[in-house]
Amino acid sequence: MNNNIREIKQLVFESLEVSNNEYKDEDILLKCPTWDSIGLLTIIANFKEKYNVTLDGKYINNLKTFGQIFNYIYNLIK
Amino acid sequence: MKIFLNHISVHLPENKIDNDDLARDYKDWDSNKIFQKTGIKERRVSNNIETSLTLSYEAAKKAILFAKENKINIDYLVYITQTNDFIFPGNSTLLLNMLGLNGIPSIDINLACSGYIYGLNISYSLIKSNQASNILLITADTYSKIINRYDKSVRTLFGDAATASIITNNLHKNSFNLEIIDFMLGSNGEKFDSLYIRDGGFRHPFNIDSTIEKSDEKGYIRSNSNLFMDGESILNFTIDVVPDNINKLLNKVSLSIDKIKYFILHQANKFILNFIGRKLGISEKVIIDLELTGNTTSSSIPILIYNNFQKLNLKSDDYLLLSGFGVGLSWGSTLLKKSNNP
Repeated sequence: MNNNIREIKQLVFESLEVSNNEYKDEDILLKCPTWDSIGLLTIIANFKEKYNVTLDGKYINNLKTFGQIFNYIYNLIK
Repeated sequence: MKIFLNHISVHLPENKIDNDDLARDYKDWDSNKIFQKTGIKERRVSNNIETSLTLSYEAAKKAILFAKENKINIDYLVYITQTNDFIFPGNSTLLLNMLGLNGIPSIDINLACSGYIYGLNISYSLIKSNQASNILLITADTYSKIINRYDKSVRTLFGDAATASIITNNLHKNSFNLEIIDFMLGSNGEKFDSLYIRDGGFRHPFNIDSTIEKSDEKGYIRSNSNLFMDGESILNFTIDVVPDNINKLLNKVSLSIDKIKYFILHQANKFILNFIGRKLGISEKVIIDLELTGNTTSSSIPILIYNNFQKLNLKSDDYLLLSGFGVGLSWGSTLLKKSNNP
């Protein structure tokens, strides 16, 4: 599980073009300057490409923190 | 009977919106970021007196000149737009009248980004069934008129344009002479509201509330009479459907993907084009040309062919694969093969 979560975090941060150390699970998404429609599209495309999983953009848009995103994606992939 | 795409003319409005203009309206986005993410530097936008009809008239005049020089008698008009001058009639008969072609049959097709492929399909079918010999295929849209200035999810992407193509059952001199080989089309109305305008039709007639602007959860502002696009939903649709559609067409015609010289996809944005290229392993063959026009809906494929035809340096029997996808939702691909000039 830890490996998967680590990979999910890394791909989310890569998609948003921020470093792994910049944000923690409890951080609010809106504090990240690259968290916008393009950032979310990049996350969706990258997870489709790497894990062939379809993320629900509307659902993600209602999430508040990075941790909620990681858990949502983890539950889809596991 | 062989059927050919012989000619494409293009007309763009003169007015432009560049990324600096957009960055002034969207304080948290700079012009470099917009270019980096979308691949677009500027978009053409129609002025108050330009409409799809006037843009298409300018494109069609050039195509008619080509037709006259090559003794091609246009005997059918197919018009693709979602921004007609009137709710009805569609623009096709109005354009016929402006071109002095009254009397020949014409039809209007309500499609956008898949529209050029569907227009080629209809034209191909009409000629194949001996209903026409020389078809004028128009694409035209003025999305700038339906986009809210403060909805950056769509204003960064779309531009206005018109094109006029000629499809015939003959080869012609100084012509593209691209033989239309086959098609694979599809559509699905389940997520029609991922890309649509809510008000102004007959389910939700235009009313006093239609122009009230509201901010969505991302802070993008629009009214019910503006274009709405659920970008994430459209992205998921595109990356699921388009590579599959291309593979199905290749299977249908028994061609391997490496036999295609170039893939000419609807120029939605650089992000989606790169993704499809990587997914199919064809990145180096996917041509991207939207820097100066943006996403021009049904016109993006013919504009790309028009702009790049010489550079493509096609030899006899080289294959091009065209693919469009968008509003409906609807999608389609077609295979073209270069023929020698007569």
